[in-house]
Amino acid sequence: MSVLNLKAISKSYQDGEEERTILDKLDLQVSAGEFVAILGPSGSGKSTLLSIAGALLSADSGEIYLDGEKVGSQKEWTKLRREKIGFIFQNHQLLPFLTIAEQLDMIGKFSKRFSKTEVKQRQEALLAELGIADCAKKYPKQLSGGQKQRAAIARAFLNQPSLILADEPTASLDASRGRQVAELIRQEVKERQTAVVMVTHDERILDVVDTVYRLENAKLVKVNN
Amino acid sequence: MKIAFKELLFYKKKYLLIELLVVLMMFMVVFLSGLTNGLARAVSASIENMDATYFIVADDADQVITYSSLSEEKQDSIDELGLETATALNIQRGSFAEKGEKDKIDVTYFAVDTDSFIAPEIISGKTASKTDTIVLNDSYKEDGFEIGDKIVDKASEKTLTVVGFTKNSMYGHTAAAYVSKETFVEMNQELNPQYQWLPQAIVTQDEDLSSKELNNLEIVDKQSLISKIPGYSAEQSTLNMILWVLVLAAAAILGVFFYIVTLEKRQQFGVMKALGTKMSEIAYQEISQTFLLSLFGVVLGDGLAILLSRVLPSSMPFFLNYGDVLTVSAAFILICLLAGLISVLKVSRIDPIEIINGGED
Repeated sequence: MSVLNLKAISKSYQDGEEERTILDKLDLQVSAGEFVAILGPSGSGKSTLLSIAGALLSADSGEIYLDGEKVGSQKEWTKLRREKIGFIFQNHQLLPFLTIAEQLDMIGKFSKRFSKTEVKQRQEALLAELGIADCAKKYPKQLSGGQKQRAAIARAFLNQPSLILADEPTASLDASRGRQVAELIRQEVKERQTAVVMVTHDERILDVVDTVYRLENAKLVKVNN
Repeated sequence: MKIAFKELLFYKKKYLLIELLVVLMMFMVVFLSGLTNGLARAVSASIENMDATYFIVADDADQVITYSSLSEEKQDSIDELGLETATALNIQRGSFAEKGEKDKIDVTYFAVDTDSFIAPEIISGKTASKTDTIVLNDSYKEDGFEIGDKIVDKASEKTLTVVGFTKNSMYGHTAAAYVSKETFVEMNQELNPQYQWLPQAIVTQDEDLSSKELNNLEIVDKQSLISKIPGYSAEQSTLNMILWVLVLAAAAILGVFFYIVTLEKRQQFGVMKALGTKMSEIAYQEISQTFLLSLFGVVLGDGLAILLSRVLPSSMPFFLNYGDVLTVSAAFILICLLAGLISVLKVSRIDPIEIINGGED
């Protein structure tokens, strides 16, 4: 069964006088443990697609299923994001005033999914797997760009979400660090059987992912790897 | 609360600046409150200190003791009331000088029975029970008066001996001095040989007199009497208005500061919302930050004002009423929290989608 199932999603914007269709009856299925990349030029609607899948934006028409359940009204979105979805942003977006351990604790505390000790254990395991165990007590400004993005990955995986959405996670890193981050995401995806949708224009890391789509003319086209 | 506090600590410089503002504002507010109370006391303390419930004055006196005069007839109708406690009180403005000196000092003479419940509390020396003796408010000590000094009343040219001191006794911006009824009569007879003792007011400790109707007389409770002292109400209402406008202005400035800080943190709130943090959690963080900032500020500002009140000269009309300080402080924190709610409202309108659409650092 697929973790994320988008059925006939359409979205259009009013662009001056004319109406611009960004997504046209688009379908997408992602299963557990699958690492999906979506390519496309800027302005092609990648971010819109990610926002709709992430319960941040409503589609004009179509249905979204997450873990087999239909995504309902906006009122449930916050809860849904907290419990089922993890986000990795272009810039790490860590809180500057908390240490890495403190912000992971906070995310764990807010979701109430795991007990305090479980959060601690998961946190330590994740930081170790991502190779930043020594950064737990440090503030984001004390870390390098790559370390920050790895901490953001740990945050996304902490609550064991079913789906992780990554918005250009390697864009602000150099080639080798970007690749490292992509490989780490893959490692966690396989280890924890999470579904990941990554929007990117970094074609050098496509060999790391399982499935590649290109967003063209408001439709998703599968690219043979 | 812990996370809110950590953020305050992390951005020490920024929040210290805001905190400094809160402290100064609160200090100003409390200081003004002390001044308001001080001025109130400078006008009314001598009456305030009296352990009395009602003052009976002539009905044509406009509730002011110095305008009142109780004729034999009026005294008779007071007798008919059958009061359990009653004592006469006369107040007269004047001036005196140290014997042999020229400089006059303003004073308000109080003629009271030294055994009565309105007799002043003596802090040093003894009561002015004998004729030609006087008890002064301790503010005259700063003018160099001591027990045993001779003073001359300027109107009657009568010489009186200082036998004791009382404290915090003021009336109409002058310090009070206490003499016995006999001394008071002698002083007045020096000016007018025909002078006959007529009390201006009868003071009582009896309860439940307000319902009684008396011909040609008026029964005034202590608070009303104080508010009728010339100048008292005008002064107090003006100062209190300034005080509350200042509280509001201070809170408004803080509200604007919180608002700007909130706008600065727009991105951070967007991220928290995208990660599924409940608005109630974010609101709690924000409000607890506002609370911590205003609480620290209020405590420090109050402390500063209280410290200052210790070192001010006693001639300065400054009196901190801790009840009032508490009221003003609580109101200040409350208004700050309300101002903080405006920021929370702003945060609630932030759409987390902004973060996906190219969140820049």
